[in-house]
Amino acid sequence: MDIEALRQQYLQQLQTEEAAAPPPVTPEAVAQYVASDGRDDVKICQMIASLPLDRETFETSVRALLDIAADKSVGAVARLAALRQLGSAEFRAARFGPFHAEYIDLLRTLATDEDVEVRTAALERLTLTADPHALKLLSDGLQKVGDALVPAAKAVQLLARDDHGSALPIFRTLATEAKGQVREEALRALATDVKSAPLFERLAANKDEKTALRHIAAVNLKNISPPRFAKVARKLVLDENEDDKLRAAAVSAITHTPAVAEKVVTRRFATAVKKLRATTRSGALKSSIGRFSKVFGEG
Amino acid sequence: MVNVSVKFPSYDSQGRAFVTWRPVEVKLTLAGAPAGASNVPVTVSAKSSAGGGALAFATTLTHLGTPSINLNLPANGAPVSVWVGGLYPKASASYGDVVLEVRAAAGNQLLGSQALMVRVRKNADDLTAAERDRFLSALATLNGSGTGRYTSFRDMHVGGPPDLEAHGGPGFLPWHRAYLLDFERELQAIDASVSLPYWRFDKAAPNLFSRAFIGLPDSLNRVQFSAGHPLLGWVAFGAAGIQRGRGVGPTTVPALFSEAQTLNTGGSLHASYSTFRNMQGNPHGSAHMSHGSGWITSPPTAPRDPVFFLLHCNVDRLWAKWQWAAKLHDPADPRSFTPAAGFPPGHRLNDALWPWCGPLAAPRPTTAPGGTLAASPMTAAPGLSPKCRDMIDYLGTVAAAHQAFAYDDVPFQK
Repeated sequence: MDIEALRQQYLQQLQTEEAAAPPPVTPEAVAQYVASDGRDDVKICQMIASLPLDRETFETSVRALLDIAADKSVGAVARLAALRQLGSAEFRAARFGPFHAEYIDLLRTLATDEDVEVRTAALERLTLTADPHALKLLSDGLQKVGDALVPAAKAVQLLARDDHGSALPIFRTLATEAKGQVREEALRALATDVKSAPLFERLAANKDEKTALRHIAAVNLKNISPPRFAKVARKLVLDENEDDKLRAAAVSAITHTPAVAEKVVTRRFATAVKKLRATTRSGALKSSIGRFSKVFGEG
Repeated sequence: MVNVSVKFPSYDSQGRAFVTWRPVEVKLTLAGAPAGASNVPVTVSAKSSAGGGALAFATTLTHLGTPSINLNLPANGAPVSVWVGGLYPKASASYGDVVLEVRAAAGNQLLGSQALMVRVRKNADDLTAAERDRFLSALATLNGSGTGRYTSFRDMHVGGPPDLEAHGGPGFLPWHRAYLLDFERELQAIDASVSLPYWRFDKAAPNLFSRAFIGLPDSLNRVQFSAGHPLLGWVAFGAAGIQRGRGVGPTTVPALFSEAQTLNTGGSLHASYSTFRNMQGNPHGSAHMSHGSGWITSPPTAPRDPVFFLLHCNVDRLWAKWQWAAKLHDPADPRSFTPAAGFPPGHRLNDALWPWCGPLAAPRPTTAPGGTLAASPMTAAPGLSPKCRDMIDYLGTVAAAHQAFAYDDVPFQK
C-alpha cells in the first residue's frame, strides 16, 4: 500500500467531512438564541452539542451553559443538555476551576427542581463526589424526614456513593425488609459491609430468592471474603439443581479471582467442571467453563 | 543440514514475538553450510492464515516494505538484517496467524521460520468474538477482586492534585497515553495476545454496546451483562457492578465532534498541537458525558467503568492519527507539542509524568500509586519513568525506539 497516497487521500476526506458537518457554534450565538422569541428546545440542544469548549471560548461557553441550566423558563430537555455539556467542561479541570463553586451551588438548587429528570441529573452529579448536601437530601427522603426527590431505589443507589458508609444502617434494614429494586439496590450498597457477610451467604445459597438478588449477594461475598465465597461458589457450581446463570457466574468468578481459585480449584473440581461442560445445555455455562479450562486445564 | 535461525530483537517469556506496523530489525543467520560454500540466496516472506496478519520486509527501517524480499545469507554464518513489520492494514487476530518463513531461492526449501503476531489496537466494534473474549477475560482478571494493580489505575485518575496532572494542561494527551500503555501492558502480562481496543465514539457501536461486550444499562443505570460474562463479578472502589447512564445504546451516534471536526479546523488540519489539544473538551469530555450519568461522567470515578479505557484509547488514537496526518512525531518540533513556558509542572515537554516518576512535592501529588510504568518484553521505551516528550514518538518514527503499540487505522510512515 502506498502510505503517502493514503495520507493524502485521508487529508482530502477530512476536508470533505468537516465541510459537511455542522459548523461549531459560538457561546454568544447560543445565548442570543436562548434569549430570542420562538426558541426551540431541540435547536438549543443541537447548538449546545456544537459548542467547541476550546481554549478561546471556554469561559464564555461555561457562562452560557450555567445560565441555561439555571433558567427555569427553558425546557427541561435543554437544561439537561446544558448540564451534560457542563460535565464535559469539568474534564478541563484547571479551566473549570473558577466556575466550580457556582456550579456546585447551581446543582444543589437543581436537586430540588420541579422536574424529576433535572433533580435526578443534579443529584447524580453531586453524589459522584459525595456532596454532603445531596447525601442529606437523599437520606432524609429515604427516612421520610424530607421529600422523596427520586424513587427509593435510585435514592439508595446514589446514597451508596458515599464511601464513608454513614447510611449502612439504612441499607441493612432495607436489604432484609424492602422488596424489589429497593432491596436489590440496598444489597448492592452493602458491597463492602463485612458485618453483612452472613446475610450474603444465606441469600446466595437460598434457592427461594430471586437469581438477581442471589447473584448480588455472591459478588458482595467475593468482594469482602474470598474464602467464604469460595465455599459458596463450589456448592453453586456442583449442584445440578442450581440455576445455570448463577453457576456460570460462579465459574467465571473462580476463573478470574485468584484468591478464590486457590481455595476451590483442585484436580477433582476441574474434572467435575469438565463433565459439567459435556452435560449442560446452558450456553452461558459452557462458555464460562471454556474460559475456566483455558486457565486451569481440564482436570 | 542447512538452516536459518530467525532472531527477533525481543521475545516474551514464552519465546513469542509481536510486531506492529513499525518494523523491527530481525537477524537471519545461516548455519550448517558446508565449508567453503558460497552465499545462499533466500526469500523471506510470510505465510498467513485466513484473516490473519501479514508482514512487510525491507533492508532498512521504512514504511515501504514489501510482502517478500530476496537476500543472500553468508555461508560463514554472519548475520544479515531484515526489517520486519506488519503489512498495513492486515493485523493479526490471534497469536501465530502469521509465520515468517525463510526459504531457499533455489528449490523453495523451508530453512527457518518464526510464528508471530501483528498486534495492534483495534476498533472494539470490529473485534472477532475470540478477540473480544480474550480482552474481557484479561480485563476481568486484572480487576480480580477489586484489589491489586487495578486499584492503582483507579487511584491515578482521581480528584485533587492527580486530576491536575491528568487534565490540567497540554500534558493531558501524553499523560493518558502513558496511562493506557501501563494498563495495556498489565493486560498483556495476563494474555500477551490482547491489545486495548478503542470505542470509536463518533459512530454507532452495536457490537460494543451489547450485553455480550461492555454491557447495557437498565432503567436504574445498572450495567447488565449476558449470563456467564467475565465482567459479571466486576468490582471497583468496593462497589460491585457498574453504574452507567443510558445515553449510549447500540445504535446511538453521540452528539460530539466527529473525527474530521477533531483533526481539522476551518478547512485544514490543525497546524500544531497547541490547537489540536482543544479536543480535551469536545469530543473527549463530550464522549464521557454522552452516557448522561454514571461513573464514566466524572474524572474521579470514570475508571470504575471499563468503557473508560476504550474511550480514552480512541482519544489517543485521534492524537496518533493527527500526528500521522500532520507528520508531527518529533518532540523537537515545536508544533508537535507546546512551548516550554506558560504551563504548570507536569505539562511541559521535559516534565516527568506522575505517578511513574514517583511521589513529588506539593502542589504536585505526594503519593505515587502503581509505581513505575509496567515493563514490556517487546521494548524498553518509553522507560519506566517517562516524560511528556517520551510519549510523542510512540512509533519510533524519529527515535530509535518504539513503544510496541499502534492503531489499526494509523500506519507507520518514516
